[in-house]
Amino acid sequence: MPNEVVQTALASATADVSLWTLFMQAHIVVKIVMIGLLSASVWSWAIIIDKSLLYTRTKRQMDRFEKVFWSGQSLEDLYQTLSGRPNHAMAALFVAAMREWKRSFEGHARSVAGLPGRLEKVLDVTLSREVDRLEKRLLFLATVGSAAPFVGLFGTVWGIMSSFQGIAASKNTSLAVVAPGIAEALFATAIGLVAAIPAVIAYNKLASIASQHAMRLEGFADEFSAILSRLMDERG
Amino acid sequence: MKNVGLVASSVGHVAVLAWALISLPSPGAHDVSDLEILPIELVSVSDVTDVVKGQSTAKVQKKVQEATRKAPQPEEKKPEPAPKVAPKPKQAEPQKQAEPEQPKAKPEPAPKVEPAPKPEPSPKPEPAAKPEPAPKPEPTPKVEPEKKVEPQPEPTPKAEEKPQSEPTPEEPKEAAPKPVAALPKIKPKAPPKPQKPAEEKRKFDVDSLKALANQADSAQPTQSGEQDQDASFGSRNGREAAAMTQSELDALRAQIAQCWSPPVGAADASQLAVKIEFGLDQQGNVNWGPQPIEYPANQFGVAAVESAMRAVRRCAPYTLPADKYDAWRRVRINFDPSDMF
Repeated sequence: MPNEVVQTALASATADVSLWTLFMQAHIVVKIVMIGLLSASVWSWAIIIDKSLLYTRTKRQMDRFEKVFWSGQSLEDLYQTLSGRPNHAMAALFVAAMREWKRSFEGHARSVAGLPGRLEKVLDVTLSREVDRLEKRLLFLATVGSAAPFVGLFGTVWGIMSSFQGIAASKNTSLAVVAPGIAEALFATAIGLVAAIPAVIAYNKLASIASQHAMRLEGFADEFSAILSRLMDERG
Repeated sequence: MKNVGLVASSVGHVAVLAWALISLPSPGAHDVSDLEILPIELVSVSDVTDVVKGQSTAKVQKKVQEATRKAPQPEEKKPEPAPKVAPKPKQAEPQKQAEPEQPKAKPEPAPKVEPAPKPEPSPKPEPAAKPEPAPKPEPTPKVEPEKKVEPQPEPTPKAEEKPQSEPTPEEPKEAAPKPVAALPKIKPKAPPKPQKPAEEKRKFDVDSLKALANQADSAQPTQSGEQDQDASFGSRNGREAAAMTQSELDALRAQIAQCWSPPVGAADASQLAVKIEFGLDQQGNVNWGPQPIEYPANQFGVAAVESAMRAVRRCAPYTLPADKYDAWRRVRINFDPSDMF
């Protein structure tokens, strides 16, 4: 009888302990945790890549737009070229404000009196919409960053719990019996950390970039509304 | 556009997982070399260092026992100096005188042995006497049980051996090749018969000679039971002469313990455990301290420390091995009543 125990213990010790077998041997709860964490990792990396591309693109476009905007080109011409496809946040602000401006001067009834107020409103709405678009889904990264370790820990605790139940059931305390269970349980925490660490780092980085862009947009909106109100006063 | 991130992320994860599955498939079993299992027995040092209670006049027995056990070596040496046989007969006379005395002194081994020797001495004066001289001069009182048995059996085998002489040497050859060399010499020269060949002969003869077997059996118990018969070497109270075999620290502790009167009233010896440190000069006088290091944490603490320090001062000239002065120049000692009394 002891010989059998030893042999089974050795057999399980020398068994395949690759990641795949670790995963397949795991308890169903641990499996779900692992899969969830894996998909969270996939999704958070998708967001990271997406946002990184978006921010670099946005920055480049804003640089180009500001260069054009401050080059002394006529606002009308600029509006004509951009009105069709305001493809970035600053252009969207510009187009929204210009549209409101032009509508106010169209037709016979010139409604100039409330124009500054309306411009503010339009710029605010557009600004908040654009900032929302920039920061969209960043919160998911924050959630993954803070929750994934706990989820992984849950999987670990569950796995260790079930492996201790295995000890209780088999009445064999050999490390070889316990080790695979603990290894697969710890694997859950490992996946949790793998998902969480990049998410936290990327969230901090992307959030700061997003707030920089938002401030830049805000500054542009203020400046542009100041320009428009000066023009309005000049036209009298 | 939006899908770029998702696709890239998925592809990246799949790639990483595939790499992980392929490149770290199994972390290689640990090489566990078979460890030899060593049975470990815990032996308290005090078994060795505590001196056995005995008489200080007695001589050390162990050496004698060792000497008798190492007999095969002396055997070979003795045959060579055979010419020295001449002095031995002179010694043999006192031995003969001693033999009758010894049986009187030691009744236990005697009964079995006595019958044999009394008739023998007359027919075999020289062979019986000669083996004895060498060992006997050294350990007079203690060795007697062992050696009496040995010489006595020897005579008997020889008396019988002379008829049997040929078969006996052949038998020992199988088991003890070395004695064989000695035996042939013994027959002509007779004198240098050491104890061991005799014992071996007895053992070999056990098959043929029942009487010898009895004697051989009687010899063994006497060896093992020596301590019961004779006071072995030691101090009267088991402590005094401690330095002879105890470690220096134990010896010092024993000396101090004699002067120590622990404070009265402590319920429990462990309450009085004190650690103090003091310095000694070459003559064993206290030249520094004593100074307490640990006080017991109870109401007897101060009293216990005081009594320990008093004891150290009172016993002052300590006898310790001078050549190890460096070891006891500065002494740190635990006063623990449960150890010391």
